[in-house]
Amino acid sequence: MAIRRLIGSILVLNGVAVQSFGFRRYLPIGDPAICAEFLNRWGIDEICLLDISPNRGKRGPDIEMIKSIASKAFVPMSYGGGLQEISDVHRVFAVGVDKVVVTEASGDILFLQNITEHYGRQAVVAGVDYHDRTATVCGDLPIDPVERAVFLSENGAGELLLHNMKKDGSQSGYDIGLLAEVSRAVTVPVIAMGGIGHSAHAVKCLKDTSVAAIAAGNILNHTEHSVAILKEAIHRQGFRMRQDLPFNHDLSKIGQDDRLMKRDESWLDDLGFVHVEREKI
Amino acid sequence: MTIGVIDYGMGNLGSVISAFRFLDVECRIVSVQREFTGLSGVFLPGVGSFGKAMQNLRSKDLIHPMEEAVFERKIPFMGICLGMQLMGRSSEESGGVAGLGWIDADITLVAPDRREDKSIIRPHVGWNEVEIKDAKCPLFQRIETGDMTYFDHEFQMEVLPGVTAASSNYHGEFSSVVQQGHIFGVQSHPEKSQRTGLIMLRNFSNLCRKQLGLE
Repeated sequence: MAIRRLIGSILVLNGVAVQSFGFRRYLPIGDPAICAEFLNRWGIDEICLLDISPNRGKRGPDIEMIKSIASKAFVPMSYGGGLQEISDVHRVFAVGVDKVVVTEASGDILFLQNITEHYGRQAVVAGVDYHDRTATVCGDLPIDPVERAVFLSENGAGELLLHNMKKDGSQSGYDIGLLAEVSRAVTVPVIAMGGIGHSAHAVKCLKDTSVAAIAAGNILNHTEHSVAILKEAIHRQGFRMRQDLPFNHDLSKIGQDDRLMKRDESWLDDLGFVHVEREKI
Repeated sequence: MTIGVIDYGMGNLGSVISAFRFLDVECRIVSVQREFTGLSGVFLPGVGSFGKAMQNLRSKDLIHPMEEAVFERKIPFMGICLGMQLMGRSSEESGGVAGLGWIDADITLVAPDRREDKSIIRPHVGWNEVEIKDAKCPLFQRIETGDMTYFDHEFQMEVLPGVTAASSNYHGEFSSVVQQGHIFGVQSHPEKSQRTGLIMLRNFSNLCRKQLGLE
């Protein structure tokens, strides 16, 4: 059985990775390629790159930036932002993107179906952006996020990205009620996005819903080894995550806030050093 | 030593090339017959539908040079994802379209015994374990049963004794790695499977190097 995934999301505003607070305020993080490189090195399962620059739709996707990020990501990568024409989609796939995120900003269902025809369902993630129980208006698509999710899954989407815009950056936990409802209603994988603050939120979402993946952005960008530590914390609360890194945190103490805790002085005193050969792949 | 990555308008060339570049393995895109000269490995990526892929291989006249390289010059070959499925005889995805037929297998829907079961999520997307059947398969050096690779497919190849080198399980067992002599197929995406996948690609490039007599 496929294991549930932890997806690292990178939000980009005018070429800079940012931390977003409800898409109203932003803090700069830095070069998105460096974010991707670290996420990859610390064992992320997938990267979701979303370009939220204003006018991205008119300018089309920033291919050079996407390319620089894709070449650092040896994990699957999805991209969303500024996709208007099928030619935009061809260009992003050509530089190493595996899936595209199609949201209301990309227009109608025919566009989504067109991509599905070219690249197959598995390459299309349909994004449902919503506040409370209202999805962002998009043509004739249902306004109710659950109904919209069902409609999209029946019309070509290979995965669904449920993004609670209101919870974004709030660190108040995922929108469990709606995610449970959607993941019961559809037969395609559902990705939860928006609201994670610490590992207990992830665990609650994995326990109470049948989502296939959880996405985290802000919380992964600020601490060393964030991905590996978050996965280990989730693992200790009963959900197995993929771990194939040359290092592990099996013996580390992890605090309530998912940070590594300092060791006892006596333990540090006893510490001997072992030479670890650098792994050559 | 150069590995040729076949460009037939189907797929993730960018990520395959950046993976080989990361490994410091020389590779180049091959899209017409004359570019097959001087290769020491042939790599067939693929994302998309079976029918369209065969049609593109045919219209770009790539089947003959590929078979010539693989069967006459005995150059190691690796097909990933759709590239592996194309080695089969046919696929349910595109009825009536013949595959390359290098491996005696028909491609079926994922979890073929439970076709009508609405609770099964298709496509099979995500990280899944491999169970090694043939530990002698050169792709598995430094890889063990239980290591995970990234899958993303709606159709699969059945388990074939003697050909299936590793299997995986998604509502039933299927071939995740096949080997027939110097021809390899991998259902997952090694170029997207972090350390485990990169090791598989390294093992393939080592094999090409060995074949050349460089080691």
